[in-house]
Amino acid sequence: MRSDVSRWSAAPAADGGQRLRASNRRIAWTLASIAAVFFAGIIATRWAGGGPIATGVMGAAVLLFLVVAIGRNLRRGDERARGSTGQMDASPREAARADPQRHDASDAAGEVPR
Amino acid sequence: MSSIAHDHAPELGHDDHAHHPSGIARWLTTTNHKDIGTMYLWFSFAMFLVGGTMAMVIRAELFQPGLQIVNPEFFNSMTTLHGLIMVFGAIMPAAVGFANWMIPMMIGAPDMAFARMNNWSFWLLPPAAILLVTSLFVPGGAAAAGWTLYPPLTVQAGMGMDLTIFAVHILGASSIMGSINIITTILNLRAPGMTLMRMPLFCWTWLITAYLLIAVMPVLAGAVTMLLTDRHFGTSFFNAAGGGDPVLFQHIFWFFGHPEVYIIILPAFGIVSQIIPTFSRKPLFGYASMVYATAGIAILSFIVWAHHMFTTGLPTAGLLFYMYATMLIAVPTGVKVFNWLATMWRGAMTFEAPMLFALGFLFLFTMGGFTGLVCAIMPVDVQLQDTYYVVAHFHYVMVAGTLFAFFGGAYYWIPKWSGTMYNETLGKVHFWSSLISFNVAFFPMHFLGLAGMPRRIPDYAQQFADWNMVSSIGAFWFGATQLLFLYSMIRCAAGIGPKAPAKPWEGADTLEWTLPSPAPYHTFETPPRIRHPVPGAH
Repeated sequence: MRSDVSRWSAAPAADGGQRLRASNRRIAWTLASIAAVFFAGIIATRWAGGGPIATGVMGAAVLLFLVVAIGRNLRRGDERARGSTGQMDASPREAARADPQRHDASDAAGEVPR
Repeated sequence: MSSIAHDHAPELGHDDHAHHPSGIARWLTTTNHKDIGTMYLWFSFAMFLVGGTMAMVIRAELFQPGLQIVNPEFFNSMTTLHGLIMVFGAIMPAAVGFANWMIPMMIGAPDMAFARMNNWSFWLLPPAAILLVTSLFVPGGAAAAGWTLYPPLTVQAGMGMDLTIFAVHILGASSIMGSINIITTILNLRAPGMTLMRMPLFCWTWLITAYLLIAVMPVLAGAVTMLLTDRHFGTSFFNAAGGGDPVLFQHIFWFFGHPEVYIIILPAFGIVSQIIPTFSRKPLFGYASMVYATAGIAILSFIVWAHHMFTTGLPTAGLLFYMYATMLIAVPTGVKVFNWLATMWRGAMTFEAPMLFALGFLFLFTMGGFTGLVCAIMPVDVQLQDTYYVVAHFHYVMVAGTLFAFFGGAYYWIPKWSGTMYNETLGKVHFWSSLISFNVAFFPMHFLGLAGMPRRIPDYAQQFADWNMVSSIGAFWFGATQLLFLYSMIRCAAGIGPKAPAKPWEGADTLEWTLPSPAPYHTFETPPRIRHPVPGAH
């Protein structure tokens, strides 16, 4: 029972770090906004009374999330069209990995058994 | 809100302790996931002792029929606070403590994604706990309507109820921040090669739990906010006198409350899924099906809440839907139990304390799940509603399920946390004493419930006396046994005992065991690269 784990070395890409932080924040705000919708939604629904309001609250929230998500995607598409690198599609971690400054030092570091 | 980017020391872990303050400042200001995990675990154990003391008061009063020790109002406060403290103060923080300690080390991350928010999540807990406990001393006493906080009692109660509502708000905020942190950490900080389907199952169960928390904690917060406005701002959400609907609160509460059961049990499933393969020296059987079963349980948990409300006058179609939907949960749960058994099948098993607790979990949780199925049968539940049968059922799930898994997890990882091996004899005595005393305490409650003894009542008919006495003796025994665990953990924390090797368990194969013991203060600042296709596979 073993899996192969090797170590990296080399300096990080500052750009990759920033992208990672931005991605962290994006996930956090998305999740926090979902929590806020549930919290305010349940109160608003009962305050205004009943099913149509509940449907309206959830519908508006889903619509808002869709608009934001589609808007972000369109903006990224525009940036790509203006000649940005293909790394726009990569996750922050993948982008950091793809940084040419980083290299897999597994040969030097040896295998670490799990 | 701060986020952690990777540092790039060339080591997997290093032990440079000059990087953090010492003394009280270390614990107040720490952003280290291990420190925060340690604080969560000690806090939860302290709250476990507080909630346990309340349970002792309850069982002392129920030792004999009649009123001997406390008055009925105080008894009701004890049952209420015992439930709230155990659920929100002991079990959930313990699960978050395990998550803080283990998730970054299991996925090869240097820390949690939002380290400062992690600190803040923890330090919200002590004020909430103080609010809950000190509500006993305010005029009118603590909340006494049961941990479910049903109106109309909670609309009419004294200021202890306000403190409880505020505490629930704070605890909810802490849980949501913790969940955001865990989801972000797992999604963004996994080491290269650690794909989602290569993660240890503990990380999967916590990822799903965190999503559940994000969805349902705000609903509880909304419910208690409406309760607060009913009490003080003239609204009538639940106040029947103003045209409100008390049953509406039950719907909202159990929309939170039933997923909450899985919020509590899923991390325990994750811990057991780490322990059983290790001590069976085999990979986990059916890893993918375990992931899907966990997700299935989480999804189903949203559509079964009204099985807690079979006696509230739901329409027949609703009763049938909730009954069958509840029974459906047995399918993914059965998949998990089957996979744990299949993992052990023909394994080279050994029975150290973690494995004993995992097996105890498996046996007793299955019993608790089975009595849950009994309660899910609507015509039967009408008879059992609010009897001791239900108390027995959920203690088999909460205590023998979650708590046993957490004890197993603590014994399993304490060598990594402290660098010291626990005393195996003490661990085994703790297990057997817990197993026997737990059953002495809670198994008779099935008989009491079937005979019709109602819960949350300090007095009872003479016919229930014998089994109540047995149950109380078991409860005192179980409570005293936990001091063994405390002693065992203090010994390890103090470094009394043999030094732990990096990998004390032969069959352990997850990433944390590649680190020295105790785990260095900073780990995986340089991410490892994972190359194996299936976690735990040979």
